[in-house]
Amino acid sequence: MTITETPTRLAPARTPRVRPYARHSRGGNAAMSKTVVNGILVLVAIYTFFPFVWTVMASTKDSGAIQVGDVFSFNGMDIVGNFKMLADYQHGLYFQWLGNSFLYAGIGAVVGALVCVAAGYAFDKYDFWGKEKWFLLVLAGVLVPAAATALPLYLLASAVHMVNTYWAVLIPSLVNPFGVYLARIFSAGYIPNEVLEAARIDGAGEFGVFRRIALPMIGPGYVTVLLFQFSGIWNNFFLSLVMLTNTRLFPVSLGMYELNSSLQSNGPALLPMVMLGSLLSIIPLVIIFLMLQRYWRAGLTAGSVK
Amino acid sequence: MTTLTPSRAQARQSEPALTAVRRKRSRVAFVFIAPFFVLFLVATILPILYALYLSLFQEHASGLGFSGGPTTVFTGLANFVTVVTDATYWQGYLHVAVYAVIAVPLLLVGGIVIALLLDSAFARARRAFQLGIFIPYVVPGIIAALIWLYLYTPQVSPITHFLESFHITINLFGTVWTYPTLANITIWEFLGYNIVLYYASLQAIPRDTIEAAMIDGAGQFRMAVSIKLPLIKATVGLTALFTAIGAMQLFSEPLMLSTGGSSSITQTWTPNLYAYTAAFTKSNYGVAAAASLILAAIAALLSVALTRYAKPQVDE
Amino acid sequence: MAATALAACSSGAASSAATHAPTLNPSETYNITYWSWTKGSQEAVNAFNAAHPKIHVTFEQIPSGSSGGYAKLQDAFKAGNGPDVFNVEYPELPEFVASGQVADITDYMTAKERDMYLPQAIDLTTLGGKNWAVPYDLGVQVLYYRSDLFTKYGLEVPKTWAQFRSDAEKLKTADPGVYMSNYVVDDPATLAALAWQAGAQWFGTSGDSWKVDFTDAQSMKVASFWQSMISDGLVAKVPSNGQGQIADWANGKVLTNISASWEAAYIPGTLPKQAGKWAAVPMPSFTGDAASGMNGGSSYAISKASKNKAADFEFAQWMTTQTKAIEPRVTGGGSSPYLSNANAESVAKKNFTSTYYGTQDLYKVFAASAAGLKHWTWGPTMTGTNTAMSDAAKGLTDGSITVDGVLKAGQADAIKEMKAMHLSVQ
Repeated sequence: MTITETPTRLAPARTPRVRPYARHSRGGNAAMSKTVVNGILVLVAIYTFFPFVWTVMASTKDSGAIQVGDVFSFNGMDIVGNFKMLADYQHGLYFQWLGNSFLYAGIGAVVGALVCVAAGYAFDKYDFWGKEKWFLLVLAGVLVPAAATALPLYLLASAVHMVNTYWAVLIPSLVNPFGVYLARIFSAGYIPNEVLEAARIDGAGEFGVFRRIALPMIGPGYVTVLLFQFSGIWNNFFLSLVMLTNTRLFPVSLGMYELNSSLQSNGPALLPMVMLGSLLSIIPLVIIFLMLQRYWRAGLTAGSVK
Repeated sequence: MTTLTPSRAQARQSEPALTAVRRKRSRVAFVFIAPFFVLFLVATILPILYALYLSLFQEHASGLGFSGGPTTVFTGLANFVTVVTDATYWQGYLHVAVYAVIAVPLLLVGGIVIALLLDSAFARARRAFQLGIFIPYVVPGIIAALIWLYLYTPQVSPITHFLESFHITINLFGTVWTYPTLANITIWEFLGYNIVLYYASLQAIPRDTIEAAMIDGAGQFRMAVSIKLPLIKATVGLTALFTAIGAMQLFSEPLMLSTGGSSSITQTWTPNLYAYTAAFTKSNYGVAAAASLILAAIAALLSVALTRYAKPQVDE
Repeated sequence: MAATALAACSSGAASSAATHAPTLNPSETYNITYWSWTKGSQEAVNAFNAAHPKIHVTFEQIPSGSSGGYAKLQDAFKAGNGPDVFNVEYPELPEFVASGQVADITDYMTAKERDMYLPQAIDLTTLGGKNWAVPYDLGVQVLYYRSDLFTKYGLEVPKTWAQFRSDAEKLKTADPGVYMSNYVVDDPATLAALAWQAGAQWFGTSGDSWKVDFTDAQSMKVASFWQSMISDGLVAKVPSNGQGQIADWANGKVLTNISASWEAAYIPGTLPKQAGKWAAVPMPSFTGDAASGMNGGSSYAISKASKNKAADFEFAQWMTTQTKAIEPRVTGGGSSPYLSNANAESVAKKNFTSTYYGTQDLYKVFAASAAGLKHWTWGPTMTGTNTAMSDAAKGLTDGSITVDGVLKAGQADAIKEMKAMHLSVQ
């Protein structure tokens, strides 16, 4: 796992290098290969999109239509009714869930990524006592599954009466050992040592160097760590499941789980709400990821291309 | 993982004046890493230690159990014995193992094949395709499970309706479908991620290598198998590691299916569910702590073993 | 009535009370918290607050017990932020008591107070000779059936399980795709109620020891009856949760719903298009006589940690007995509890209105069922034991287990959990 990345490799070239050598293939065969290859890709795309399409359709229908599987028709359309039901549910509880998700994921990622970048930067640029041993601890953190520590975390939080608070979800969300690992790679790739030395010679202090020189240079790397941490927190279900019982503190994933469970005691009248709520809970992350493509691609390659 | 220390060269000048600077810088480094390690201590190390402590106690009642609540008693390793001798706990590992045997190869092989197709000269609309298939990765696992739950539910599901029009009746909640339906959810979630990842590493293969092969007259298929594939082995090895660890922690998807109608997923179906049920249904914190500690230890050992195994390939 | 209750308490009418329960201080105001999933609770709490300027109750809706409500309560108690008053069903009450979360309210439940409730309900809330909760409703067993389809297929409404079976056979011949009932495979509560109805006793005590027997003769009779219904394909096997069984009712594929009094309020919401088509009768029995077990029903328990137990008790008693507490819950058919207090029951009977069931007086059916309500004891392991039974019962779907196997799994779990708590089990 030797890491010798350069910034250019971190963000792969946008223009694909391929195409020209297609001409080497023989005519008819190539046409058929093209059909087969693209056919398979289309099938994969259909598989990927079908659940989304179904969810979109289902969230426009009333409970009766969903229950009998009548989703792809105009029977029982009630988009406005479904929105109203979702908005009215326990005085706008759903939007509070969405807000909580933004709060947990937003604060968790902004602060957490900064913590990662600071640590990664130190691991890359400084020499200090027991450095590689500390780093081994980081890697151990990567390998111990978060789900296996969530329950111990709950037990501890329960003992100190911290369950059912924002902190119970927020504090553990800040910890991202893989982010430190990534940040160390980014620091090596984005921040040339000479620039730091030059700043020091100009009389800048260590913290000044970090804040004014290093941080702006590692910016794209910071965004990448932030992005993955944001989606990690947004998608985390187990931690909030064990920590929270107050519905007002729920993130949207836990809220949707409980709402769906409540169908068993409340009957299926809320079914359209579950569909619409699920759909809306996906949209923010999809938009963020589509907008910030460049960064997650960088994260993917830096994290796993050797 | 050890060549990340470019600053060592500068620090090596050992004039006395510089030693002070170095010492100061070393202290600064600790300031930089402190926030992370403090949080790591609070959110990972302390919980594990506390769970270790809790696992040594049990709650004992007296009489019929109605005389004023239980007393906490130190019982040594009794909770570990309870967990280790409980067949249900180990069946959980069996379940995740069978699940992994189905899901992991499909995720890896499927990902590789599709990435290679995408990287071949024949594919069209690569960029849009990649963007599209990556989307399930950003869907929370529990929401993905919820959507698929309804896509499996008899009557609700368009799949069963479609099959019924051919007079095929299947019950996707039936026992035989347990593993396929579960694997399908995670494959749907992560296949796109793997494809994009593999495709990115295929794109990172130097152009010269590809062109040299072309000049040698290699066809698309041969190029894929004998040139491209070996070059992305490292990436594949790493995803194998993460997928296997992920499989071991399986929780949200079986939880959702078990509450939604699956006929064979129980409340103790995976090791994680077992620990969760011990804590939240049976209120037995000692057993819950022991079960999660054993899981954490096994997962960590598995990771180390897989890393060792994958390392020769990764390091080349 | 609440005032008289407190007066009775402070005047020392409780002969058994060695120590007097603390009473309400009229010059003080109290704030108490209450958690529940029971329908109409918010409305009833509003009515309570309006009637009590000195006591303010804050209500929080939680998921029903088995869908996570109990876990939530246990969790909150352990973390020190549980409610003062909470609803708990009779099977789970012993467990909450054993875990030390419930206040002993023996001093409040004087003989006079106890007389206000049905003796079966007092029995279920009396554990180890002490009172632990104020009973609210009793989930007496009721069979709901599609009257229109019974007519269509020429079926008689069954009084005995034998008739139930012959109806099912007739139906199978008439239309193989239609079933007399669902067998809800992973619903141990229904199985327990059926065993209870047949006269089984799963738990008993002798001195300081528990006796656990899920496989007594009556339980086995129930198991073999339902196993043969399953084996002969006379019932549709469905999981309790999920949309499968609702769809079966919605499509007219299943003609009955084996449930309890409270279900009457849920059916209209679940199957809105079948108004006027459902009717209710007391549960068939093996002998043909009125016999009922209980499936559901809940009580009001007070947290041991609560600081204002007098106010809590006042609230619990008001909620279970007073006209104003019951009216908002049943009017309009929002909930259909069969209540253990006579006044509350008459209010419910008078106010429960549901055009869904046409002209049928459901409360007459509930009362008929309650007349045959049998004695029963619950042990302190039921949340875990229910999970174990429901997990085991999943195997009914593919025939890898039989109904008596489910009972054995329940018994094994109950004993195992009792031993883990270091209770003595015979």
